[in-house]
This record gives sequence, structure tokens and C-alpha cells, in this order.
Amino acid sequence: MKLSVSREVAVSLSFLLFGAGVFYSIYSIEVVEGVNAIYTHIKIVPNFVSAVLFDWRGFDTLGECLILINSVLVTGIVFGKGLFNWDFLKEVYGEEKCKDSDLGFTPIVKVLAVPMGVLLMALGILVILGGHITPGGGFQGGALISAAYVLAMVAFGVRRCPIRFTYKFLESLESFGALLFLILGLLGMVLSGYYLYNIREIWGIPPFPSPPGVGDVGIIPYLNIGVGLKVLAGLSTITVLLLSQRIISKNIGKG
Amino acid sequence: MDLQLASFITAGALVVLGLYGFFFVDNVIKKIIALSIIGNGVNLTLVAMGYKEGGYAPIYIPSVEFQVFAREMAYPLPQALVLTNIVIGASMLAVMLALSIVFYRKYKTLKTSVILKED
Amino acid sequence: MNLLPLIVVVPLITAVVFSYIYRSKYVKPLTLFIGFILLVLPLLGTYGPYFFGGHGIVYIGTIPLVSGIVYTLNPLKETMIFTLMLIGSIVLVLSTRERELSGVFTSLVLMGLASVSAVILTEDLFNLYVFYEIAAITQAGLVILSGTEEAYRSAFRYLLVGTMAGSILLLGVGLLLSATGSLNIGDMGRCLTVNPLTPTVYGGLLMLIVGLAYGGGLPPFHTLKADLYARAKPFVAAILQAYSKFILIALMLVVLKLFGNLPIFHTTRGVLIALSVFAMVFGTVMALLQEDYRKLLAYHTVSQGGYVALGLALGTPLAILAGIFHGINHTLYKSALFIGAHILDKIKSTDMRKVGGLLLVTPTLAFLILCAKLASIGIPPFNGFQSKLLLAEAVMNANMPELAVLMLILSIGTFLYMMKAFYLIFLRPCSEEQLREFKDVKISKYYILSLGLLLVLCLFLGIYPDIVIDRLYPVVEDIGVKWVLESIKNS
Repeated sequence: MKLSVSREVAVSLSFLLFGAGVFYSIYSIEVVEGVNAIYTHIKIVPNFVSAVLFDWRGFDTLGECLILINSVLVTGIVFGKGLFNWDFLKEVYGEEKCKDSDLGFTPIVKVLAVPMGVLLMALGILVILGGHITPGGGFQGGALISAAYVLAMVAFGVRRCPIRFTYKFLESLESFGALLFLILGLLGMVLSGYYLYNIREIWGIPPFPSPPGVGDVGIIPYLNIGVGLKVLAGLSTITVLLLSQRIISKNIGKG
Repeated sequence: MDLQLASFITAGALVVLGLYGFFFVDNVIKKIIALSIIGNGVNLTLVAMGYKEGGYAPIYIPSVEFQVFAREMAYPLPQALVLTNIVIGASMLAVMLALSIVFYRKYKTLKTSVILKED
Repeated sequence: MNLLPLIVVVPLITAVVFSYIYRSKYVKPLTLFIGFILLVLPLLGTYGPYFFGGHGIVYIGTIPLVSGIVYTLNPLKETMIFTLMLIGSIVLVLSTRERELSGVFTSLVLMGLASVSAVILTEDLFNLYVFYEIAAITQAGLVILSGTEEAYRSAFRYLLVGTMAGSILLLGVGLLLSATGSLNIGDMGRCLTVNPLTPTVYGGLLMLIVGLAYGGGLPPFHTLKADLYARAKPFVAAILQAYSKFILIALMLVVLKLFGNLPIFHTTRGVLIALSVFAMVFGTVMALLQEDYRKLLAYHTVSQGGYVALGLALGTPLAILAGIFHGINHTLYKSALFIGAHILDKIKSTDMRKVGGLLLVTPTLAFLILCAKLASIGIPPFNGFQSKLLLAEAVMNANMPELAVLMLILSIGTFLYMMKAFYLIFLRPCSEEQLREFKDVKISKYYILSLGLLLVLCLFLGIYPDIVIDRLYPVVEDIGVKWVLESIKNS
């Protein structure tokens, strides 16, 4: 009891001091331009954020793709994918059957969910493909498409969802997206010696056909597509896992 | 009031608020919400660092001369960093939510003092 | 062509492939194959900087700035990556002896290896943050794989705090970005020495230290790490401790490169030394109290992490060298100890009250574990002795003899609990039928062979430490803090 009181006091004090430090240091920020001058004065594609994400600092984006893959994998592990020992999960889930989570929405929601989903998907594809010219890109578009899927799932339940992505399909899509990114990077390395080099042209032909005046598009649209596929599949897989906990039932039946 | 300074103050307040929630609230879901508030505060700090008074968004407009545009444009680097950080935050969130689902099934409560008890 | 990025990219590609084919029957042979491929990877790169995407140095006015992401390779980083890949390879090979092995485990280990090598190699703070987060999720996943309730709980705790620490680290990176206008560590360090220090820089330093303490297992996050090592399967804990040790070294080097030549490093040094001394003392005291062999090893890892951090925090070239050398040595012998604990787990249990008299059952194992324990206590001719000696010398040179006394006392503590564990497991008399039960368990040759390999390395480094030291010294001399040396000379 005494220990917990002194711990509370210590936590409160460190919170106060640390919080004050954080607040003060954020308050006194003065921005130095530095490397931003390079990013603003050299035009690669019209969307400068895309240029930073996929050209100047492409390797960060790669790392960020892999964190999503990793997170999907670990979420699967939490629900029993490839565990060394299933005793705890068996104890928690026991005999319980995997049930369909139809939340009982009214027909209004159900009727509207389908056209909204189709619209969202179309918009998502547009945002992914135009990521280098207009605001948007792989993440945003992928998130839009997976939002359509999640919307349909929430309205109809996992089993009767009108958009039928199977779990295996989503897994393949995710691996394909990530591998596309990784291998395009390797391609740049083969052609120029630099990983994730933005290949302007292969034997005089630009890799992605685009109208003149857009700039050195290079492989950015393909990277966008890879990221888009991966984000859409990753977020959808996470939602399926959280909604239905499907891997658990399989493993408990087996083990 | 200067919009950038206001954003910084808001961001600092968000971070401190999130830290408070993380340290003192006895509920796992609320702790996770507090963590995403900290993340949002950090993101806001980064975005506000790239802000320019009366500047352009970093999408090229052909009708403006390039040198002028480059001088007046908001910095694209912090925005790119935020985009990356949002996905990282979402990934961490997914794993933590999955874990809290499993623990809720086990203990039928979300109290941290029960779920994360010292042993 | 410089193949440096392949050190990171090859494990990543294979990790994605393994996570896709995780139920295939080819997982075991492929895992074995990848385990051997990993050993080739550190030899691929050539020394010097590597610019991702071909974005090199751009001049703004007269100031050179790195425009993209840079990795550099030098003998120091190469040695660290080689040790890491060696441990990873051994763990992957051993994992093929597990009945329930699936591609998920292989995928996570490879992901962790890639991310930790990226943290070691990178010269870019944001890139470091991204891979640091991948490493955090990976470690939680590896612990969850053991599937017990305690494992779930410790991983949950680790992730909750980890998200907080990660956000704080990113805030620190952002603050430093705003103060220096760059994300490249070299450029930032140069900018910080030229410009006057603002509260933003102090805040950034504070937040970097929070991230460092979390990633490396220093106080106030040491209990989380100890919990993590104790709850994972022991041979998984071998790779987990390698991850956090190298993250600790990499982040300490970042702090030294950024702030080493600034006047605030004087205070920072004090804080870091205090943290590492606390970790040393706490780990030793807690390890003395444990009944469970795994927990004992976990707290021992925390205390040795303190030694590594102490060396790096002192800031003189000799101390940095000693810290890094101790980190490498510790990774080697601690992996051997954890693999020993795994064999013990296979035989009966890691609870020291339930086993005994194993000397009669497996004399080879007893001999190997005794050697590993001697290395960890710091007895010649093993490598632990060399690095602790070097560290004591560095501490004396830095005018802090009281720390050397403390290290000596803690070594005695280490001797006590290590020998207690050895007595309880191998020497304590136990009944006939129990011995027969222990004898029925078959121990795979792989375990003994890998233990033998690690111990041969320990012995080799103990007899010829110059092989590593000579490679590291020129690099470390650049990083070492000049004014610390000068102030010592003057006094």
C-alpha cells in the first residue's frame, strides 16, 4: 500500500516535470528551413509530398509498408496464427463458436452501404492512380477502398458482406503489394546502382506513360499502386481479424 | 493570433493531455485512446512546422511562376513524415486492440489494474 | 556496385514471403537455408556512405546538405551486424527443431534482424524511428508466440509503453528537425555545434533519451524488458536480447554524434551514467532473488545492459570501445546461456527448485554452461573478462574510481547468483527416478553444437581480443568526445 502511494507520487511528479518540458519545448519551436529548401526548389512530380515520400525518402515509405505487414502478422499471432502453445487461447475462447457479428442495422443503412461502398472504391482507385499529380496517393486511396469494405462489413456482418474478399485473397494482395515495392527498388539498384532509384526511362521509354509537363514521373505510380494494394489489404485484414477472430476457431478445432 | 503558434500550443496541450490519460486512467481502451491523442499531438506539431502564412499547398499550380511558388509553398517534408507516422500509429493500435479483445474475453473487464496486474 | 542495402532488403523480402507461405511444408528447409544465407549478408557492403535513390549531397549556398537517406558502413557497424546475423542464424537453425515451427516465427525473426540492422546502419533519424517501431512490434510478436497468458500480458504492457515512447521519440526527432532543418545525423550535429542552443534542442535531447531508455531497456523501462525476456521461449529470448542490445548501442552512438561536442553533454553524461548504474545495481539485486532460471537470466541481461550503457555514456574513446566490445561479448555468451535455459526447459522446467543433479545426465551440457557462466562473470580466459577489464580501465581513466569499485562488487554478486544457479541445476543431489526421467529426454545435437560454436567464439575473443578491438578503435576515436579527454588531462 505504502509502495503504491509513493509510486503514484513519483509518477505524478515525473508527469508534471516531463509534461512541462514537452509543452515548453514545443512552444518555443522556431523552424529552420534547411533541407526543405531542396525539396521545395527541385520539382520531380507536381505533388511535392509524393515526391518526398517516394523519391527523396522512398526507403522510409518502404519501412512503413513493412510495419503494416508486421502489424497484420502480429494481430494474427494474437488470435492464434502459428503459436507455439494454444493453451491460453483455448482457455479464453473455449467451446465458443465463431459467430457472425450482424449488428442489426436498419434497411436504410444496408441499402445505402452498397452504393456508398462502390463510390468509395472508385474514388480510391482514382486517388491511387493520380497520386503523383493531385492530392492523394497510395495510402489515402488504399484507406478509402478498405473503408468501403469495412462499411459493408459493419452494415451486413462478416458472412453476408456483399463485397466478397476472401481472407486468402487479401493476404496474397498484401504480400504482392509489398513485394512489388521491394522488387521495384531492386530494379532501380540493378539499373543504376542505387536502391529505390527513380528510373526515368528504360531504353528511352518512360516506365509510366504520362502527358508532357508532368515531370519525371518514373516509377512513382507503380510504387503508389503497390502501397495502395498493401494498405487496402492490410487494413481490411486487420478489420476482419478484429471483427471475426477467424484464425482462433480454426486452430482450436485442430489442436 | 498567429496560426502556427496556436497550432503548437494545441499540439503541446494534446501531448500533455495524452500523457495524463496514459498515466492515470484505469481503463485499457481509454489508455489506447490517450496514446492516439499523443500521436495526434506529435503529428500536429510536425504539420505546423511546415506551415507558411498565406502559402500554397505543396501541389504545383501551373499558373504560378515556379520560383514564386517554391518560395511560398508549405514545406512538404513534415507532411510526408506525418503520413508515415499515421500508418505506424494505426499498426500499433491494431495490435493493442487485438490484445485488449483477448483480455476482455478472459477477465470480462477493461480495468488496467486487473488486466495488467503485476505478478 | 555497392550491395549495402541488401543487408536490410534480403531479410525483408524473405520475411514477406515466409509470412505468406507460413503453413507450407517447406518452411523448415527454407528456414535452414535462410539461416545460412544470413551469414553472407554482412560481407556484401563496401565501406563508406550509401545514398538511397541516388540523392546525394546538395549545396544550399555554401552549406552542404544530404538530401535523401544515407546508410554508412564502417568496421564497427560491420562487426555489430555480423554478430547480430550470427545470433539470428543460430536461432533460426535451432527453431527447426521445434515441432510447432511455422513461417510466422521465421518471418518475425527476419523482420527483426532487418530492422535492427537498419537502425545500426542508418544515418537518418526518421528512418531510425521507423525501423525502431518495426523492432518494437516484432519483439512483442515474438513474445506472444510462446502463447502463455503471462507472455500476452508482458507483450501488451510492452506495446502500451512502447507506443508512448515511440511517439515521444518522434516528437524529439521533430523538434530536432525544426531546430536544425535536417534529418541527417551528421548534418544535424554540425548545425547544433554552430547555432546557439534553444529550449527545443533540450526537449529533443530529453525525448531521444526516453526513446533510448525504452529501446535499450534502461530505467525506467527496465522491468518491461526483463519481463519480456523471462516470458518468451528461452531461445527466442536469445534473439530478443541481441535486438535490444544493438538498438541500445546504435541509439547511444546517435546521442554521442549529435550532442557529444556540445556543452550540455556534461549534464547528459551524468544522467546517462546514473541510469546505467541504476540498471546495473537493480539487475544484479533482482537476479539474486530469483528462483526461476529464466528470470535470473533476464535480470542479468538488464544489469549487463547497464554496463554497455555506462561505457558509451562516459564518452571517452576507450570507454566507448569497451562498451561496444562488452555489448558484442555479452550478446554472444548470453545467447549461449539462453540456449542452455532452453535445453533445461526441454528436459524438465526452468524452475530451479524442480531440477537437480543434471551433471550426471548431461556432462557436456554442464561443462558448456559452466564456461558460458564463467564468461558472463568475467573470468579469464573468456571474452567477458577482456571487456570488463577494458571497461574498468576506461572508468579509471575517466577519473571515476568509485564506479570501478561498484563494478567489482556487482561482479561478485553476479558470481554468487550464477554459481547458485549452477549448483541448483547441475550439482544438487536428486532421487534416482528423477534422474531416470531426465535421462529419457533426448537433447538434439544442434543445441550442443550451437552452444559449442558460441563458446568457441567467446574463448577466441577472450584470447585474441585485439581482432575486434583493432577494427573498432579507429571508428570509435572519431566518435569519442574530445573535451572529456581534455578536461581529464587538465585535472
